[in-house]
Amino acid sequence: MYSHNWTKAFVLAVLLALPSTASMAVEWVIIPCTPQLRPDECGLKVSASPGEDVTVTTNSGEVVNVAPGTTVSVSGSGIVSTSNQQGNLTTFASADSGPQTTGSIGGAGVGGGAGSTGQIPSGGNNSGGENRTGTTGGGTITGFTTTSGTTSSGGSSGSTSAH
Amino acid sequence: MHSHRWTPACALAILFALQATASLAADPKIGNATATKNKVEGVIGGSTQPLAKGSEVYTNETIRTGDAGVADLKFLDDTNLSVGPVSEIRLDKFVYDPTGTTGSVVIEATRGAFRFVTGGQDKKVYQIKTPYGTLGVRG
Repeated sequence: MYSHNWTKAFVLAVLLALPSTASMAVEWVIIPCTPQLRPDECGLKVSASPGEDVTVTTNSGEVVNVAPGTTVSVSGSGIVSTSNQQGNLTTFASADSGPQTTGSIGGAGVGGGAGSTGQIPSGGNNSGGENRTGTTGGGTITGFTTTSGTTSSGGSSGSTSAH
Repeated sequence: MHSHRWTPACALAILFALQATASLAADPKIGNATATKNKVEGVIGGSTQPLAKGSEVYTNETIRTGDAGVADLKFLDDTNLSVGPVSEIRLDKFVYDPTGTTGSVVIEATRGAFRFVTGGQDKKVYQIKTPYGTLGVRG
């Protein structure tokens, strides 16, 4: 009886210790700002594994915590916003996996308004005024349009992850 | 008389050549490409080389991928960095201190998509610079 209790306690202790020793994963996407893009269509998006503690320090010195399950975006004009993360931020297949079928950075999926398509190839579909999830493993990163301080993320699902 | 003029010029040229060689040799190996797919290249010291599985990567090296290029890199501290298509990243600094907190890993990403899994060092030593902000790991 006692040994059972100790076994349970030991297993619990091991399970509790695991998260603190496990490596953490950070994903990020950078869409460089070019004259063809509006500042809200380019910038940085970051997400981190649940339970991990990642920060983004913007060029203006603002420090933003990347909470699990969220994506922090920094637009080309320096506007910081947070949105819920659905699926993986990046969808490219690992280099040592099978044939690559997914794209890398999704098209724009800009929230609200007419929407526009980003410059980096492949990814989620974009149609006027509506966010749509990516199709056939492609859609992922989206535009950086902010609406009332929050960033909408467009196509995001249907992807594969290397980790 | 002419030979006297050429001697300093030759010496100077040799010095420049030695310096260039020394700077290349001064960039230490920090890891390997564990896998690559399609166009992946490394740029170091102005020289561009294709990266393949097993290729070594060095401090101050810039890694670029093409439209469908993907690279998986593994550093000496077991950090894993996956570089997606149309991406560019520079490996600025790598100091490996497995027992203490004096290590430092600084990479500078300029475009593209990336996945990063920290290695065996204290998480606070990892820093990822981008044009729009710097990512840090607090633990």
